[in-house]
This record gives sequence, C-alpha cells and structure tokens, in this order.
Amino acid sequence: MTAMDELEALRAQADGVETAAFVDHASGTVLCAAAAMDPPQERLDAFCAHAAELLETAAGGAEMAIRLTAVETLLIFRTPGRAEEALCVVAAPGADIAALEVAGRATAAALAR
Amino acid sequence: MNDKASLEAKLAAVAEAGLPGAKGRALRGDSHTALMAAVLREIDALVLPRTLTIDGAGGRRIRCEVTGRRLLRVYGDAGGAHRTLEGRDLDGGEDTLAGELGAYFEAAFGDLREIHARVSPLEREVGPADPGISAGALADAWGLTLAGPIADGAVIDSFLAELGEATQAWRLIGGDDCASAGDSAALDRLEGMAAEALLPPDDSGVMTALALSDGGDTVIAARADGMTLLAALPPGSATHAAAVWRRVAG
Repeated sequence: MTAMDELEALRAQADGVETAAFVDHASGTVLCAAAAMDPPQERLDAFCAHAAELLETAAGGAEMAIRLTAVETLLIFRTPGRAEEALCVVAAPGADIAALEVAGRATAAALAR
Repeated sequence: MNDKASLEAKLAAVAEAGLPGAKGRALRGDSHTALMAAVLREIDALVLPRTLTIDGAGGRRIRCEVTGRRLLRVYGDAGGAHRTLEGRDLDGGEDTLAGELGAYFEAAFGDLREIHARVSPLEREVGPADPGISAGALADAWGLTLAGPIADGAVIDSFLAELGEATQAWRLIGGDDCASAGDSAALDRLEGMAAEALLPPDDSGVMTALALSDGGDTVIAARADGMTLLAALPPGSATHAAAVWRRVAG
C-alpha cells in the first residue's frame, strides 16, 4: 500500500476522521493528505506546525499528542524510527479517542515501513 | 516494637535509602501564605484520624494531629513562646489560638517555599473531648481560601479530582497565583515546561495530552475558566486523561 492508501484506509476504518495527513514537520512539508474535502494550504501548514510544537516541546520529545478543543479532536503520532515524520489525524469533537489512538498507531507504524 | 515505632523505623529506613516519596508529597508556594494555604488544604482533606507530618529544610518538622478536617494538636521543634502549643488540646473557641498557630507555623517554615507532607494513622483515640480547630476557621483567621487558586476553576478542579491519585504532580496557574503539589522530581519536570506552548493561544476549554517518548510520563496541559493546569501522569495515561477531560469539560 502507498502512504496515500494507508491514510485513506485510516479514514475508512475510524469513524469521524475528517483529515489524515502524513507530514515531515522538520521541513514543514505535508507529504500526503486524505480528506473528505481538500484542506486549504494554511490548514496543511498548520498540521506541520502542530506536530513540531507538540512532539518537540518536551525534553526528549513526545511520541503522541492528543489535543481536544471545542471544534475538533487532533491526534499526532510520531512515525516509529523516523523522528521528523508524523501522522496527524483530525476528527470531530466527539470522536472515539481510544479507537483513534489504536488506528492511528497502526497507521503510523505502517507509514514507517 | 509497637506499631508507631515500627512505622517510624520503616520511614527512617526508606528516607535513608533515598527512595522517591520518602519525604512525602511536595507542597510548593511562592510565599509563606501560599504554603500555609496548601497545608490547610491538606488538613481539610483529612476526615479520619491522621497524623500529618510536615517536613522542611534543615530537619524542621511539625506533626499535626488531625481528624474531621480539624487540627487537634501540634508537635514540633518550636522553642520559646511557641512551646505552649506543643501537645496542647487545641480548641477553636480560644480567641487567640489561630494567631498563635499562625506564628507557630511561620516560625518553623516562614522562610521556605517548599515543604513535604506525609499522612499516617493517628496512634490515639480521639473523640468529643478533642474539639480542635477547623481548617476553615484557620483559613478565615489567616485570610486564606481553602479552595486556593482553583476557586474559580470548576472545570480544572473537576478534572484534577477525576484524575485522582494517578496524578503524580500538578502545577496550577491563575493570574498571579501559582500552586503546585506532588512528587518532587515530577514537579521539577513540570516547572521546566511551558503550558502555553502546548495549548492553542487565546482559547479556553482546551486540553493537550503528550505521551513522552521512551515510555516517559504523560504530560497534560489544560486551560479553562482562566486557569491553566500542567500535570504529570504515569506512562500510558494520555487517552484516559483525554476521555476524562471530555467528560468534565463537555
């Protein structure tokens, strides 16, 4: 499967996923993204910024971040073995976080292969 | 060796071994007033008969006998004028008692910004003959609030309460107030982090959970009702914390 196939599979598998993006947050590049509607460029840029902010803030870095706001659920997974790459998953505010974590970790692992 | 002696021997052994938690939970404040508010919150949380042992730098220690959120007796190393309080049955009906106790704690810990608190069973029977003085009465007399800086932060308050004892340490900032409590090492790690960097600017009702790399702690940042919280939880707690946040923040 291509990276795009993996992102589409994640969207199909997990309820409520609006956008799944594979990013290189070190260079600020969206490698590919799957969404119901094409997100605007500034939205894609924001994924890279969020991944960099959240995964690199703590000493030693983070492997996963979950951010809940009134308008969305955002999960970011560092791709195993590739410190600069991450999977960003945007879902509805009421999405099943536990299911998203399981599906997101599996997709991040697949993207590393 | 009776139970009390046995317990003290075990605590001494643990302290000597330098194990985490040997000193108890760290209470920190940016002033003596903030520290005393933290102590009163500890007393206010004790319903069953307990000894609250408070340790400060230089071997300073006060033992407080507490039940029903009331301070019954104090023991420590205070000398001079404060000696009259040692082991005395405290009675909230005494007009000067709150002031005396305030001076007593200030003499022991007035120059400190961190103390450690441990709770152990009270080794004596207590009853109606032990009136004590309530944490609420002391707070009123000392011009403090038991709710502390989270008085206006109902969401954050509920969030912390629901996370419960899993929370290793927390740091709460509201305006100019700052309060923190928990394991010293976890508190040190939190103090090195900026909650604002983890949260979207100018947004309320938001929470971010980080699963730190290499099996590290879970770090939580949350903002609501003008309060900002940083908390450390055990590894693998991010999803649970997010679910709790969703429940309390709606």
